[in-house]
Amino acid sequence: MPQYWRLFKNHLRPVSAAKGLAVDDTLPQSVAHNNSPPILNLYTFVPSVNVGKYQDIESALKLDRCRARGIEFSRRSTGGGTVIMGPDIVALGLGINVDYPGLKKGVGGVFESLSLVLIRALGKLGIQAYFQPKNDLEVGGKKIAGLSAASEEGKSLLFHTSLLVDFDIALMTDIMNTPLIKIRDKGYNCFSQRMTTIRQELGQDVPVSKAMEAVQEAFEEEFNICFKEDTPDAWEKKTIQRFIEERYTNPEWIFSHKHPRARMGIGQIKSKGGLLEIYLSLSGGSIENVLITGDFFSTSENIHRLENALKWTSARKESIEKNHSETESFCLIFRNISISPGIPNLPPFAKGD
Amino acid sequence: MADIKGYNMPDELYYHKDHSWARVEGTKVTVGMNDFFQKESGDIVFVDLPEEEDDVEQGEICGKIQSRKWIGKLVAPVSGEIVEINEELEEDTSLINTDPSRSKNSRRGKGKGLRDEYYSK
Repeated sequence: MPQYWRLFKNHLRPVSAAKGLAVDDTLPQSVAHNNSPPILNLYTFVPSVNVGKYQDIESALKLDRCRARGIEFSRRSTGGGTVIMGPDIVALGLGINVDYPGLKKGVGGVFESLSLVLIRALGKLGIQAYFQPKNDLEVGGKKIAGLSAASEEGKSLLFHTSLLVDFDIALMTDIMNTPLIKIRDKGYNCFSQRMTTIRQELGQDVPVSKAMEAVQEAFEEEFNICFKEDTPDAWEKKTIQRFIEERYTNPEWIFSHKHPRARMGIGQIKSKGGLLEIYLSLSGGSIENVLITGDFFSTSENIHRLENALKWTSARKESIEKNHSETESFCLIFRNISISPGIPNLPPFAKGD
Repeated sequence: MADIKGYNMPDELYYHKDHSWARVEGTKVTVGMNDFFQKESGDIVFVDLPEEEDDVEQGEICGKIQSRKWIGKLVAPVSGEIVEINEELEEDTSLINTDPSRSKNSRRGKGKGLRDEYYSK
């Protein structure tokens, strides 16, 4: 006898950043305090961008460009970095108890379980995706979905994903502050080599509603459950409104200063094999983002693997060396190039530079 | 010193079910996160600590800890007032990963209620 989960689904009208994020925040609260079964929220945003809970929004984004282009910006309650959202990106929020049968235990287990659902969903559309530890889904070495999560009240959990049906890389490079903005064309190429979309993979204009249906079916099969389409009840509507007021229309939340210091820079190394360039964003003592380019031959998949191994890890020399050495295939290709351990000494950019 | 299933769990600490530990020093208690938590979470990238002079209740979520894209809870293992936070963590969150049982990764406070939610000393 399958269990029933609730489904909030909206593929007709993109929602504001405030509304979408407030509904998602309500999901784990309702599971913890409102006696709700797990709730899946599938929807799209208006053109918008949100940063991770502990990201410096003023360093991460060019807010003047966001305002000029009418791109809403906000801060979500889950971890990770900057995420661009819009009408062609499926937003997924899930509120669930961490002890739910079939959900693997622990931080890694939760990400793995929910990745399997998304891999199954993409498989239904004809795309062979795989989990790139620890937080991304990839197709042929290119990111197609990012995952993030937060542990909430009691044993409830909020899980977030953005699944790219289509994506505007030019918009991303225009509104995000990354070291790559120094070299605009290179930035575009770097991102296009590292990201893909459902439409790009299939070569056809797949509707967002079809991607949502695939996600819905994949959840039903993976967890042996059935969905009942639903809308927020009175308790949930009140909670959504509270989150809109306390968080998503509140400048203290959006411009929160509870975050590590953000730094960016470019490192260049002239080696026997050619020039190696590393574009780096630091969040406190951790590597938030790293892009590796240069005059060398390799598959973008191998480079991406190394970048992923370094993301959200300590920028300390010993940690970089450990993660570098564990990415064996890359080491074999570039035996004669040493990744600089002197990352904190990279020349910093000024904000918005 | 105790090694429990590969996790370093020093005998002199009290352990809370939500993975924090407490070291009692007279009327003050030093609190941190245990070895299981740091191994499970991976690299810690940010710690959102309570403020000094805050009152916290045992079992209450009094802070958040981010590792990669996961944000976990910092649950108060003891009731009391925060008298000092570990400011070193603001610059170097890797202390939690490199030495979890020594880095006072949250706070020192005047504590009470140790027996209520602890597994054992």
